[in-house]
Amino acid sequence: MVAAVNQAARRAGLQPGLSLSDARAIHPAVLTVPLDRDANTAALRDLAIWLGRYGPNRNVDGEDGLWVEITGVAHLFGGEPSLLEDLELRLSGAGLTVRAAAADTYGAAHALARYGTQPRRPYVLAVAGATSDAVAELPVDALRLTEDSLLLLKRLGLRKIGQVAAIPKAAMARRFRDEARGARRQDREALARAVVWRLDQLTGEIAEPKTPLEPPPHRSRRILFAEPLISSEGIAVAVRDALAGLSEDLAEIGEGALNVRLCLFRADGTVARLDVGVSRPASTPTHLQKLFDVKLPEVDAGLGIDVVLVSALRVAPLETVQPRLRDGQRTTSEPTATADLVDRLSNRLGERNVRCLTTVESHWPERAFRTVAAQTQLQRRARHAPPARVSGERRSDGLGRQGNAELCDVAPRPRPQFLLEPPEPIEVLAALPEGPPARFKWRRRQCRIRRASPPERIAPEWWTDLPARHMRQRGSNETETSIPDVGQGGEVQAEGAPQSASALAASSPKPLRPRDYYVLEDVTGGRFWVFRDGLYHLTDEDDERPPKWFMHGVFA
Amino acid sequence: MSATSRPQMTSPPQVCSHAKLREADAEPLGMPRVKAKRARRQKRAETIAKLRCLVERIEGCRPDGFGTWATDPSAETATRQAERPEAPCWRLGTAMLDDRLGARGIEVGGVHEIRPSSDAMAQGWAGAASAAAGFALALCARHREAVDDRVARLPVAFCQTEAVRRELGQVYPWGLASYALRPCDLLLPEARRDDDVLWAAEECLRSGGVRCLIVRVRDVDLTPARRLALAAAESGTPCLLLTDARAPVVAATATRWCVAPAPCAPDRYDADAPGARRFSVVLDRFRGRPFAAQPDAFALEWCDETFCFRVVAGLRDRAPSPHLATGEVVTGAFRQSAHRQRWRATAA
Repeated sequence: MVAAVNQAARRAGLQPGLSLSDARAIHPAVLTVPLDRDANTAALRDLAIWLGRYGPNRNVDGEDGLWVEITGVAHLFGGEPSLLEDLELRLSGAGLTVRAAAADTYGAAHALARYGTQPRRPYVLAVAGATSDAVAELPVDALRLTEDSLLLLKRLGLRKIGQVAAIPKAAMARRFRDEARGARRQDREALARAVVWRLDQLTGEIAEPKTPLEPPPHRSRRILFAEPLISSEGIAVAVRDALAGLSEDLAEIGEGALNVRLCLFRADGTVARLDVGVSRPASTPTHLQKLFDVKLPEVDAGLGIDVVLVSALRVAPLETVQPRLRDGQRTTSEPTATADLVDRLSNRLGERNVRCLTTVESHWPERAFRTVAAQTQLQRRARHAPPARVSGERRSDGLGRQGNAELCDVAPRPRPQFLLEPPEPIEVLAALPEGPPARFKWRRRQCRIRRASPPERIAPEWWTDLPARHMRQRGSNETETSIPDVGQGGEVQAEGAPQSASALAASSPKPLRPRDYYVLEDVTGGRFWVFRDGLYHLTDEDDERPPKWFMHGVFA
Repeated sequence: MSATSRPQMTSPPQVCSHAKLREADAEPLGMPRVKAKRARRQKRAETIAKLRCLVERIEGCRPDGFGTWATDPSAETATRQAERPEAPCWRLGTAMLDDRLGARGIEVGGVHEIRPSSDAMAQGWAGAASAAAGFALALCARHREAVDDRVARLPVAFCQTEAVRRELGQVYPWGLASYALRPCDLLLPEARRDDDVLWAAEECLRSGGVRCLIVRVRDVDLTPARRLALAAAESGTPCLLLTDARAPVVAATATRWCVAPAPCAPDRYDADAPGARRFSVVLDRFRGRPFAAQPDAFALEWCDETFCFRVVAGLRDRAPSPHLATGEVVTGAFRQSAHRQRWRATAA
């Protein structure tokens, strides 16, 4: 299948969508390159990053488009026409064929860029306030509708957007109902609603928020150099100056940076990016500087650095620290020492590899805890944000801070100090089928049991597990509708996923079974936490699985 | 202070010279060989005394391990004691053991290696490794009592590689209460390689932002071990090093403990259920007592209510059924030797 063609091939009569043999039949000497979707996506993303020169809010649009919000930006380029000209010139200079359009709304710009034409211009510009006129002549395909809706519109004789827009909205729903007799009533109404919705988005009556590539920085500081910097010392000094400026800017509004991005623009047009996060906002850049000093040697300066840009992606209100009276030095309290340590570790090992433990109110052993990134946890505290909740009430929120429920985190029965994830199946020999094991084989080693505690039965949480189908549905809805929080928020959710109820319900289609937990000690003194999954006397008609044994934890 | 002025010199020089004069008068001829031998012996004693003093000055305590010098309060020791007059020591919580550990207890700013004993490793890696981890957690709980409130609030770092976590399990917050830890007390840095784990450990030690550090690595080379020791001494943060029994022993450690799980006594209320956790521990190395002829072996029981160790007595705590009692409860070497002495006395 041909995915894309160049100008010469188009002139020869080839089109995207042809099969390769047809294309060869049309032109035997056609040259083909296998399609690399990942490379395409990556290139488009790079282009979106480059588009930052026209506005901070921009992102990839589908598989073949880019959008950028130029509200309040166009005058810097001398108006919208010259901005579009500049854009077209630069991209065609890089060997790219571009169809650019600017309009009042995202929907209109999307339609004009793909279906609009303007005589003697390489771009399409809808004058402000005249969006409806500009798009009136475009085909209805530009409305971003599904195939069914398009077919229906065409069957009704509505081929241009102007024709559709001319129909009163109330009448449209009625006409659709009459026309699409084959479809169900709800489907017909949904079709009509979709058309009205898209039209409203086109004209700007309904706002259409778009997720930008990255959150706009709170403050940024840029240093330009006449001659490119090459020496690493020079770059370090430049970064230090930029950070100092950024910290001053933020301190004026009473904020301190939590996440800082450093962009080093090389002379050949490429950009090196470094991200650094800290746990506590600080008014001075010394700590940030130290973190960047660790990472800067990894940067390849290439032909030299033209521009140094630091931007604060996430900030938190500054804490007022009492300077010590005697020597004028600020006291380094231990929480600061711990936070600095967490920053240094996260900086090198990765934020998700430095974690702390939190407990979740749940009886089910693997759901009763979560690990969260320590830096995220500290940042939440600095921003006075409530800790993330998964399921059940959080009792402790990690790293030294705990509510008054300090004693509640003691389990009623013995719990292991190390939990195996996931539980490992073991072969068990028991004197009684419902009794404790007499010996078991785990990791190809026989263990003879000397002592066994009485069983502790833990039943699945019916309030989360019983309607497994419902949970699964809700879980999938959540993943569709949630807008990924750029930065740490998304990662936190991802970390919580293995323990979350919806993920478990989705991964195991069969309902969870009650477990009998035993604390076993073998003849050498090793102590284990094993469970039997399922019961012997309680087998449902639909659940024919025999009970199984698993090793779930080791006592330290 | 020069080494020669120490009081443990075998013979004062004045006496020596007098004796020489008298010898020269009384024995003009005939016994040169004896004299040479005596002089050699005396020279050797002097050298040993000098070396001992040197070792003492480096280590800062008496060479035989029983605390600081009682007869000779040297200037250094005096100042060190003056600095920390009432500082609580890191002790194990039972008088018999703490006497063995000396007046200052376990060194707070030092690296302590805890390795599973090779016998236990042969019988099951997971059991032995987690017993070693348990002993480390217990030491960490004891350390909490040796620090002030300010430090006690700091988290405990537990560094290990990702592979080890998968193999031996994730730290489970609900089980930490038996080792005096709350879930929020732990910081868990994790890396892919041992090098990164050691780097993270060193960062933790140098930062002063953790109360105690537990590191689980396969083995530690000479240089990283020395770096860890220096960092620990600098910040006064203890580093508990969990290593593999198959790896060579780590250099520059303050103590080295060989730990194996030991079969426990039955639960107080249920004869079939396991009772308090027991470890059989060998104190392999203890800096400050470098001339120990034979390592100390203890059978210890961890009390998860008082967070103290208890020495398991061979007679009192033996298992109820005879076929299980043989050789399973390790009797403390101290008790053994005392017993042997008493037996010798009665035999004579």
